[in-house]
Amino acid sequence: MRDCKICGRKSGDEELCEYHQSALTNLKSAYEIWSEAEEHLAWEEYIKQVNELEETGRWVKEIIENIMSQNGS
Amino acid sequence: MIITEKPTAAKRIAAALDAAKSPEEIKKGKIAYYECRRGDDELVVVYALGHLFELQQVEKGWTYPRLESKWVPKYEVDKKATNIKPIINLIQKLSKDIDEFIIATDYDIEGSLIGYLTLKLACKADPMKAHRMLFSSLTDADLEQAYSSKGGLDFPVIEAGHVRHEVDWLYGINMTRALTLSIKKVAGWFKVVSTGRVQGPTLSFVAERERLINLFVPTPFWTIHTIGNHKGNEMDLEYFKKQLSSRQDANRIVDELIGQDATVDSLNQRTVTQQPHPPFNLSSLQAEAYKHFGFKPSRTLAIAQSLYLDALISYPRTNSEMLPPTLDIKGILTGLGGMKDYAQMAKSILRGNLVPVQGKKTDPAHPSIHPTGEKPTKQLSPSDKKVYDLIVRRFLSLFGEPMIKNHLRADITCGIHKLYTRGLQIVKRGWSEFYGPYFKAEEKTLPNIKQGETIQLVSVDFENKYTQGPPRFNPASLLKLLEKENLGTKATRSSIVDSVKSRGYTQGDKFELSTLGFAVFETLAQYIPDILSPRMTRQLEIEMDNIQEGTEKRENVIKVAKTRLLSYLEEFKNKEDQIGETLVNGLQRYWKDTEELGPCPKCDDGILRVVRSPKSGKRFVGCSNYKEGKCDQTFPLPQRGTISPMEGMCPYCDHRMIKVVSGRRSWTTCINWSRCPGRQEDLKALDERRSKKKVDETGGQES
Ligand SMILES: [Zn+2]
Repeated sequence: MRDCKICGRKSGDEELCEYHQSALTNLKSAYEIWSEAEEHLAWEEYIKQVNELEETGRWVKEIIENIMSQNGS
Repeated sequence: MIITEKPTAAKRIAAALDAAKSPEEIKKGKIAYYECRRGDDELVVVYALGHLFELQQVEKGWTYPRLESKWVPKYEVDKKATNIKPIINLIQKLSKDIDEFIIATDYDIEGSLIGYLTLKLACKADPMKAHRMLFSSLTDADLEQAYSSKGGLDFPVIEAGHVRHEVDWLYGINMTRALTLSIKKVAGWFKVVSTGRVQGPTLSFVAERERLINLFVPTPFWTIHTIGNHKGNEMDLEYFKKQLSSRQDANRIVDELIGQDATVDSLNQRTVTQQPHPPFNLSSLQAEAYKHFGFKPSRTLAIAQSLYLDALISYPRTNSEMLPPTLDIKGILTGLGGMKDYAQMAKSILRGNLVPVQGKKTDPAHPSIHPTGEKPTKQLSPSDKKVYDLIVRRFLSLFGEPMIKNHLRADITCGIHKLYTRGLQIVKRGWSEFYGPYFKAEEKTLPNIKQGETIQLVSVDFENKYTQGPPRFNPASLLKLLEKENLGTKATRSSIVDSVKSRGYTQGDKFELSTLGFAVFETLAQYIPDILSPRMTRQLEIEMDNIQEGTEKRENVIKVAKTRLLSYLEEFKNKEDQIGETLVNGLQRYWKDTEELGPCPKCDDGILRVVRSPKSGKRFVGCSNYKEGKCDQTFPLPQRGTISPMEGMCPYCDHRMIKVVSGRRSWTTCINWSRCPGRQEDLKALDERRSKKKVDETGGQES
């Protein structure tokens, strides 16, 4: 059994718990909509913008912060 | 003897039935009863305080399963219910000289059960020989009528009430104990985590919504704003596509429209006739009161209940949207005509044919909520007045003529693009005049334009917006969902909605799920999902209806409920360790969020939490029972770093272990560290380190 690297919930054999996994899936699929809406939108710029929006869900923001902290280090 | 449900009802019923309308109030300490005379009958009117008896388990022990229960005086279960004892004693004493018993509690399932239990357990009387008064308002006329036409007790209704109490008791105590004891087994803490038959599904609605909110990713869209100029008058025009899905499109459309001439294509008018809203039942009253006054449903119910006890409105716990043909509408309107605020409206309605608009929903016992026409005998409080006014105006509006509205629309084209502008004209106010402040529609005239005329598009721009996540529940919307799912009853729903919050499962006004709520939901969803499903509880509501109609027996329903419960509990026992662990995990996250550090070691039910001294601003651990003066337990805390509770207890002193993270350093200790026999060495070392440090760092507060 592993713990989710973000929240510490039990996550079976995965790196992420089901919530953070779903958040990541949603984030990826929304990128397709965003890419069609805004030309030449890089992934990094995309997640930065999503993270700044108030409406963005908590688990989505936690995933983004995790991705950004990995890129930063 | 007439048994009523509440002191105010007793007073009113005694006054209505006394031939001289002046019953004698006989005080016995803090409580009272009434004596009155009606023809040859001498009446003794006593009151209960809602339920005087409650279910208690037969076998001993705070454990599960516990399947057998019996009715006992409420004060034996709830130590705070000390006011119940003298009431039961008084009823018991007075019952000795009574030759006929009449139950005059509220006319619903709970009322019937309260009357029955009081009769059987306090009066020790034979229910088969007792009578029942049935009424939908506490006016003199209704009560006198109910007295003269009283019949026998409605046993199927009483049985249905029994079943609900028993099943709720079974699920409530057993599931709550199972959850609580799993935590105790895994972590050694005693923290009551409760759930229940209707509470489970309610929690799951909130949790499902929260999940969608937490997973939401907004996406961008664009809207076009256009201002047109027609002969010097400016007007807002809307683009025919409300949302554009790309910035490029938005840019292009703005480029193609700006500065262009558009042509008025057509002017359209659609006339709509709108009938009055149906009469109020409890949930539509609660929804309107929330919308206009912000009252949560439980507050509206309490206010309506007190208006009912003052005989100003009919019984509020009703599902019905109908007014029966036997209702004395003329009498009510005449009564309202005697009140300054409604005199004009009532008079104009009385000139008409007095046929109200009816809704579709029905109720076996009561009509929709309506005013009685009685004048308030005392000044109403501001909130009572608001709800009363809403009920009166809704009632008056039922007799109004239909409202007639014109929806106006001008279609405008510019090349391949379409624009439009809308207007609303109210031709005839009709019933909305009576509903007054509770009907809102903004009239908007169309600009003065004709077909074929030209409008110059003087300003065109776009706005970048983002999609919104699903909304959180508010008390009214959660209540509505429970009603739609047929969960709970009109009498219990608003307290279920409140309990989700009072148990710490949600926080804030907007039903935001707390970490505790999530932990309980997660655990149940993973291990006993049936408890969260509305199916089981809906099934029970159907069975209760069947009992009321006499097509199902109470014993069968209880037997099935027990079997089902036992199988859940067995499953629970088998997975107790995993369940406990999931809950403990969730509780730790919850305590971290709320700065709570687990149960207090000194008192039974306190929770330790991080508090800050208002004087020095320093933080320490205090007990949640401190405010009530029940517990003074405190522990000092390091002043820096974040603190979170850990699973284990200190091996030296058995106090809670905590983790302190300050900068890059993190360490574990127990909350009793300043006195813990195992930590005195560390403390000495810290003291030494600190005295060295103080030389080069002033104001250091690390302790
Ligand atoms: Zn996670």
